Amino acid sequence: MGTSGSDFSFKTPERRMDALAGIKRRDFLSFCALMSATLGLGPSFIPKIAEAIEKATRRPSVIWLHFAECTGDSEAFIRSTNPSIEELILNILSIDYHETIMAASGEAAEGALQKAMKDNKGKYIAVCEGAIPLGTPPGPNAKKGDYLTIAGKTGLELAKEVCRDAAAIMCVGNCASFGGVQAQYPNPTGAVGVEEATGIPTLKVPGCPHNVVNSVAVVVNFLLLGSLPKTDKLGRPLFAYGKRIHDHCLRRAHFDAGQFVEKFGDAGAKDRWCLYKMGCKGPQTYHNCPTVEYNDGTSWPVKAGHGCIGCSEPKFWDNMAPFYERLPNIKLPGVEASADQIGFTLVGAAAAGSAVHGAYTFLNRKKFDPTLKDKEE
Amino acid sequence: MAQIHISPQKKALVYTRNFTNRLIHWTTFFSVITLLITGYYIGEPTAVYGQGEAYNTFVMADIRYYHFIAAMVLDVSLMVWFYLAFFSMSHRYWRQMLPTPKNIKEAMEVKKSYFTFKKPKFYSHFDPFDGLLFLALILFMVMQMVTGFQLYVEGLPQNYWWAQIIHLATDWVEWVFGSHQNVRLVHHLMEWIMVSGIIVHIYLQVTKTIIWQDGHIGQMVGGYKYKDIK
Repeated sequence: MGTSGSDFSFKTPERRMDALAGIKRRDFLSFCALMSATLGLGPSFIPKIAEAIEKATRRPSVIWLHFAECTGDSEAFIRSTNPSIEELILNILSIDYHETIMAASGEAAEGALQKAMKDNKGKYIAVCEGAIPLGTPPGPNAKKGDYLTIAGKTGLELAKEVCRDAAAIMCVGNCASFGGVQAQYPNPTGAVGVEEATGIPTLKVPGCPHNVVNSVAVVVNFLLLGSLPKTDKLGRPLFAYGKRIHDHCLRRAHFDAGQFVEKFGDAGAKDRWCLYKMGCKGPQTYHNCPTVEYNDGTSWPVKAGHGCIGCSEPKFWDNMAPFYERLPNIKLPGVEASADQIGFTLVGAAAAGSAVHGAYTFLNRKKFDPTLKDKEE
Repeated sequence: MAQIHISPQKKALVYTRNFTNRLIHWTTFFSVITLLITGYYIGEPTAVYGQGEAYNTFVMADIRYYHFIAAMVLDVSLMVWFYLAFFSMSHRYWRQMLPTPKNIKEAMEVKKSYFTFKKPKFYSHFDPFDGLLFLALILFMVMQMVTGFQLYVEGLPQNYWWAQIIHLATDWVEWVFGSHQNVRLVHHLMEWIMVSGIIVHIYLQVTKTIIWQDGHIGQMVGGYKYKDIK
């Protein structure tokens, strides 16, 4: 970037945020620079982002809902170091309800949810984590969606109640966005994504887990412009999901060169060759992993030596499987075969049929070959 | 000493295939062969490896480039083929390729002749049995074209006008097959079906040339084939 943080001057004299949490100005500005880069904005936007965050009269209220999931997205959220969790909670967001990290429990917790919804009606951001099961469990008195019950309400009821009055709904992780592993075939609980369950359009930040930098960038975009970022046809923000992993992959040069890892641990793997033959799904996955990376820019699967499994794509457990093969298998009743096995069988059948007919023709050559007829005469 | 055989059957040369017709056939032939070889490598990169440092080696990139060029050539030749099927000045062949009851009946007769070795009726361009085989191959090529474009567009910038046209024209493919991986699978499997179709096609033409002695393959080179005179 070239310029250090101290070069920027701000119109807001009171540095409210800094004083509040004791966060260094430099850290705050590097966070703003990260957000600016993630959103695809130039360096000139860094002071604007800083201003937007500082000027926000009230931090946006966030209600974080857990549905059927593994809390992996919350884990990713509380492990974010840039921005750090205290920065997130104290400065950028006002997380009024989060089942995993809040101190309150029981009626106090539910009271906090009701209060946050009432006080910020139409203004809060609902963050949904996890899929919503719509199936009916077996047994007496079971009703639709009973597979997930929180505080006496089914997941669907809770989602509808909270999402109805939200200014924006953000689905973090693949479960909330598209159903995730719960929605994998045969999907015993009838799990679906939040948008499909409630019928309310949501902004999706899929991934397994989501990348916190992207989720926070969505909020910063909301603070900066007052609107959610532009999305693709699946509802994922374009700044993070507009580019294909394959096109920004650090191993792409080896793909183009025709240098592929044949087996985990071979010489190619040591030379960081392309993981295409190991079933990498980077060529059909849209995410900004190669540029933003996970865990504070430490690493991401392909950098670590494992193929992409396409965790930001809808129904990736079904569609991208098997994870270590290029192509899915063909499932016919009673048979499961690879496309190549079926192809070889077809080609073999065509060649065998031709050969058999060729032999038949040769044996009957007297019927059509006039030279043979002449000899007989 | 080899004997020179002079057929007792009187024959006449008939001009059946004009230049455009032959050009389309051989354009299709060379592009499909290129597509088969390069496509196999792209699906299963084996046997050829990039040597040396990756900055200066482009095995996969080059093979994909030839695959795309051959695909574009095939697409254009397919379009010309479709245009001529309906609007050709010499021979509008679309009617002979439709699986109508009449065509199927005649195709069955041609099929029977491969086993009885009684020469069927003279067809100037292609017989109905071949007509139906060509229809299948053409439909597979169209399928390869749309699934191929759906895979190709992933590598283009999404705001590029050409990418948007492809999206507009072929996005239904992903919906039909359920997922992007399935599109890839269909593109791969379809190629094997086409290879078996091509084996059958070549076998039939060679057999016909031998058993009916009408210069059947030669018509794709010179344009003429023999017709028996009674």
